[in-house]
Amino acid sequence: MNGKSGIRVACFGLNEQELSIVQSLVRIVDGRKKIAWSLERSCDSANVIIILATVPGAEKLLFEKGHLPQLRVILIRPEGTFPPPAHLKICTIRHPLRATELLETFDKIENEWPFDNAGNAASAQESTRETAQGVAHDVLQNYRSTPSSSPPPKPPAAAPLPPLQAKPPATPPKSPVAASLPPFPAKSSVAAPLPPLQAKPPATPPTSPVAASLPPLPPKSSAAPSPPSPPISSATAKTPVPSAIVTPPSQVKQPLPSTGVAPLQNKSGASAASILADHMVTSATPRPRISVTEAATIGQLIAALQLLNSPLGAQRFIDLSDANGWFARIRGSTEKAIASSRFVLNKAKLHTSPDSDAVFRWQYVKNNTRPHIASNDALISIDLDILSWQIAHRFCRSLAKLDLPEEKKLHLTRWPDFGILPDFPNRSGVMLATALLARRHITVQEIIEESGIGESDLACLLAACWLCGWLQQTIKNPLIEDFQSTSFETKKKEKTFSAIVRSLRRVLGLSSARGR
Amino acid sequence: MIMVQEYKLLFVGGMGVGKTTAITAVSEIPPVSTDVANSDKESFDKESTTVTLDYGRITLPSGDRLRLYGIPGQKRFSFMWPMLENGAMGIILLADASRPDPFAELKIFLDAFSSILSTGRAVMGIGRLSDERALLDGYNKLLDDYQFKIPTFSIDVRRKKDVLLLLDALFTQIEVVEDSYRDPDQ
Repeated sequence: MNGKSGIRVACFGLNEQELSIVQSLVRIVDGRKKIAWSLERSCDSANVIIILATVPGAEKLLFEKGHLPQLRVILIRPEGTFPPPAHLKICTIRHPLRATELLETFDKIENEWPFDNAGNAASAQESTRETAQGVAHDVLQNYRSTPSSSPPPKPPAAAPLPPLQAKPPATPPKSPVAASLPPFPAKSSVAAPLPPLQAKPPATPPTSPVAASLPPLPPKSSAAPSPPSPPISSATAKTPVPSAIVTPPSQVKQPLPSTGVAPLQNKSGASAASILADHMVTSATPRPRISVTEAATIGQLIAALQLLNSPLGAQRFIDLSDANGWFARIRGSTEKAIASSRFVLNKAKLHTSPDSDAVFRWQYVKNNTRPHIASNDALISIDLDILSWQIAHRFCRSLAKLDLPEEKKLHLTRWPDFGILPDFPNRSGVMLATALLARRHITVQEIIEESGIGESDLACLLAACWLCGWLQQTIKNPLIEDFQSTSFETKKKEKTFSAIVRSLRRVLGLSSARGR
Repeated sequence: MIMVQEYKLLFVGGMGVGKTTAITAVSEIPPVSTDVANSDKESFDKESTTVTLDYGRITLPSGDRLRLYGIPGQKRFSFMWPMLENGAMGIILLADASRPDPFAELKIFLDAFSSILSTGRAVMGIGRLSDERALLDGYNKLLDDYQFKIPTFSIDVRRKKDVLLLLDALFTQIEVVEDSYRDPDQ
């Protein structure tokens, strides 16, 4: 496809790894809805600009470009950075490595295309203005409700766009993620034998096994080096983007409602996501030092998963997973993923193919019948529920390490799938805590008092649910309090089954978390 | 004279999702099943199916009894569903992810049993999900659309521990739901 005629994306302030994520996502969306996407080096020729808020010049560029009707701006805004003005029509995400969020943002933008077509754009812009303003408003609200010690940076001089390179750097990356990934235990029993891996050896000997895994971007095609600065388009006949890989508009995340739901924050007001982001982002701008919590360590592992856009990254991930026994062979519905030779990352599973070159979400499409797998030898998959649980279980056994605010209330948007989780002690206690979290907005202390769950079990549960994106923190909301008190009033007569439930538990050999 | 209390628990789901199997896993008596040769193979290719209902039982030390009913999954028996639902302590909703249109079938039961599902005294088990984990999100979204706050697990009803997991979660739900009804001043 002609990259000049469609949506042209340029990035400002992203490092090489982040650029490669963007590049991969652009290749995914390119041509999916007959709209060409390409990656440009210059912001002047682009009509979608991704700006990292923490680099010098970002604010200036945002003010220059954010109001232009023919442009869309995606602001990557870690917690504590300057809030975007409400009148600018921009999308914000917290971190460039959040590939699925970025993909959803691309979807939103694609739905607004063409931006500068008066007839079409009028309705599209009208329909999106509310959303954009809502996002901006909520971002602003979040910013105001989150005390930050760092003042908004002054508008600095424009920084040069980092060169887009397909070649690996000469030296291994000095990512803090790579530097601090914890060692993993010795190989345990593995559910299924692993397929042969075809990862290419690193160009330079790695200084440490972990650093080696967090990849210098290998060339996509090993045959010839890439030209210096071509617009990158993915419309290659060789690896067509499967039609099933779509994110329907209904799946696009809505901005946080203004009913009191806020991102998970620690005592100092920094969100878990921002701690993670601060720990992971490599930026030229010095940041205020934030203590690294266990949650950040967990985040590093997730980040490692998201850095799987190179054979070397896949190799490292597979090694880690193999050592932890996280693998199971898949048996269905990824034929198109095989054809595309890419990673498939959805909420439930990570499908990998050793010669993959991208990370993206595969969204189930209703009419997609079960394709027959031609060859599953090269594919491995892992349930992200299980992965999150294992990571939380291993690294997050203390509430203190999670650094949760005591006074804030937590809420679970959905239950973990206990059906696939391995057996663990005190499951009844964990389930009771889960039920309380899913039904109410509740503090950590209340959960402990009402469920009798141990601190370590609760820490594991909260961390795992946070990793899966199901844990929300709520600020005090009189409406919620009113609703809960009304519920007490109107339904108190219905209590009839608790006694038989206790007896049934005893008869069926199910332990009771409350020991009543 | 001590009055024996009787309670009922429903296993709800379409034809072939495993209601009979699930009841067999926990009932103290061989379930009374009314399976006959399936005359509706167009809807579901299964040799036999339940034409009225399954019945199992758990007797408690106090003499109280929990009756386990598997509803007839075919829609032509839907006239029986409200009668069974009346007074039930909870519902175990079973679904089969391998159906051609799994959500459409589920919606029938979400509509039919909405009065008890809306209280939260229910749990959903989804069978044959191993190949289609992404469907779990679809099920959760569907429940969100109905505003039913119930746990959803992938299970295999042929395994007793999976059925016990569903019961454990259901009991937990019942306890939490009833606690939330309690007057805070009590």
